[in-house]
Amino acid sequence: MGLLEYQAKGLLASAGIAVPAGRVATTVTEAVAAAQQVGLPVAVKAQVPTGGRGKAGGIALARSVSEVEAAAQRILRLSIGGFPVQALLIERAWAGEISDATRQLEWYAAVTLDRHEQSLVALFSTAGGVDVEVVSRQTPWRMLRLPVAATGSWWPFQGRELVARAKIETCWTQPLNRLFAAMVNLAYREDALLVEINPLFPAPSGELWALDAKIERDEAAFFRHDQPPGAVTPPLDWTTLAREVSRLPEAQVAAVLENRARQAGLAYVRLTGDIGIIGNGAGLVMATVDAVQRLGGRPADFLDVGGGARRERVQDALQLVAADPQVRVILVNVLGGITRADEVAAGILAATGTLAERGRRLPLVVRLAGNRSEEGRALLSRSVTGAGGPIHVASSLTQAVQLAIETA
Amino acid sequence: MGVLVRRDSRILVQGITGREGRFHTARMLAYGSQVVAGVTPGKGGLTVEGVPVFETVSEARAQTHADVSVVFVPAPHAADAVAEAAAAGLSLVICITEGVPILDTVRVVAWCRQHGTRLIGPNCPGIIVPGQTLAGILPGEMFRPGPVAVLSRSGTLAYEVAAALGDEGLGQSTCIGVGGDPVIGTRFTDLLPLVAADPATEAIVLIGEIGGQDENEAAAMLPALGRPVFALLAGTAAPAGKRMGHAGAIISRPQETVSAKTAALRAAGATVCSSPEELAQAVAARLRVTS
Repeated sequence: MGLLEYQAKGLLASAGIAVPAGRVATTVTEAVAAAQQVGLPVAVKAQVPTGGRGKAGGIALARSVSEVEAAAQRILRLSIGGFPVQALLIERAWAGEISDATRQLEWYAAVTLDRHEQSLVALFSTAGGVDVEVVSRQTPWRMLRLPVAATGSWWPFQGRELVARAKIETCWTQPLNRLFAAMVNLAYREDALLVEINPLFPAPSGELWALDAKIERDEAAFFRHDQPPGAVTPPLDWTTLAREVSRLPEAQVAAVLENRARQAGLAYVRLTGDIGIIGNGAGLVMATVDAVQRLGGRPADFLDVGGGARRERVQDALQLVAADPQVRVILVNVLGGITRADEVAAGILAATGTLAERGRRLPLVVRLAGNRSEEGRALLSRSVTGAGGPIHVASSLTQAVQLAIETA
Repeated sequence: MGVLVRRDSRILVQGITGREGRFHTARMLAYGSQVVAGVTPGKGGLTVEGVPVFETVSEARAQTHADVSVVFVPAPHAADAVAEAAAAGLSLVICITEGVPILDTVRVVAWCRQHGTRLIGPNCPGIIVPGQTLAGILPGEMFRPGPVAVLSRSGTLAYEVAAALGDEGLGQSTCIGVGGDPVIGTRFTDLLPLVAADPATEAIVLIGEIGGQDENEAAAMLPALGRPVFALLAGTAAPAGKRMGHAGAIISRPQETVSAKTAALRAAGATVCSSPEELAQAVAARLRVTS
């Protein structure tokens, strides 16, 4: 999960990495106060969990109090990538303090997970800035790459190596060693799978400044860090969720449903079709989504209830998918191994009952196989007239997918 | 024969007193596996399903000669448990636990290598050699002895494939779930030479998915194996940049898509199928021709 820029910079500062003085503001008044504290000129930067802020007008340079007011007012009204701007970072700008020639220097430094190496790797380039992805695609030799020891040690030779390969002056060896040692430490301390500084500004004074930063933390490690905001989860209530979703612009629906699913402990990705898909096990659910698409249907989501799911979990899963207005039929594909198919059937019936009470009647296609699937199928077939709409019980995945496509 | 585990493998269960550990210990015993010891710190001296529980892995190993550990310890302490088993000298550790922090896995993979221990997982269903032993959580009743080795990044999809193979009258020589995390102890490329060298194996099934390049790397190895390889890849319809259930199932680069992996595997001579049924039929057709 990605942190906002001000959170990332706070962590960098705590690791001893130089970042421009900055403060967070949520209103125009706060923005002006923040600008006066850090000193003009300032950059006014939208804090949103998505990229492309600059192009969307979410960053402005302000040289006076009235410019800060105008910029803050304008940016706080923006919505970027479906996210309304709720906070600004007011940051001391570099403009005017250094010569234009040096200001052009934009380096790139990152520490990130490399699956092949099975460790973190350090990335460094003297061609940073907004087009760094193009640089690493078209001139890969300009993006230097060094594996990091699994123990999290950064060796001083690695700084010498970077300097030699980047063909920069040796006076940068020490600052780069300090920077990368700090970034690797930070990654391990915070369970970050990406610590990226771009641009990294090599100041004439010999310091390296992090002008923008991205940090992504491993969600699996949240238990040993501060919980992200909103970690206290109320039980999933269909009516509330459906009402919230129905009021959202389409661009925000996916983020809200995915966030709610994460809180409920469900692995869920929203897609763009009309066939809701629920199953157990990531591979099986992916294969189900693939099968729907291959046979001409349009999957509305991927939802994995995980192994050994109990009825409450299945019930939550169905309610979540049913809260998505694009869904016209739900396909449940469960292969009972550790999961008990009768437990799943009980969850399905509980969910359809609740949904029917609230007036959401969706046809269901259910394929149950494996452990206790006969009991599960028997449970379902006793209530084929199901309060929530018809429940079709299919024997094979292919048949289930075809039925779902015909129904949607 | 079986790869990595055999009928006489002596299994230790770490986290045996927990809900999952206890449940799956009973299932493994019912399957005929030799579960000889359990470890839960603070619970030494107890007995679970007739299996003695020890305080430490080294003590359990000294008393019972256990050589394989199956880890059910909850995610915050799972890497520690794996590290303990490696340090105690176990040759194989299977980490079932899902949700292990990735940097814990990075450290423990290096630690296992240092101790000469093979790690399977984390976030995996384990290994079954049908008719001989079960070391993990695979549903034994869905497998039967036969000539097909199955290597899979997904648990349930492997069960689905086993069931489809069963419908064609085919069983499995070994089925190994390597795990759904971005960093795992043992990859397809580590296992392919082992299963190909097993005389019980006549065909190999790879069940892969989006994310990472383990399938692409496996492709490079296929021509030298001397066994027909069949593959099923999940995630054709997955959008880039989204994590599809498994922590490791995410497309970050073009080479990590199903189409890129399909192309790599086909170029290496593998038969890539689009559903478990189609795959089972292709394997059956091929084995009928050769037999």
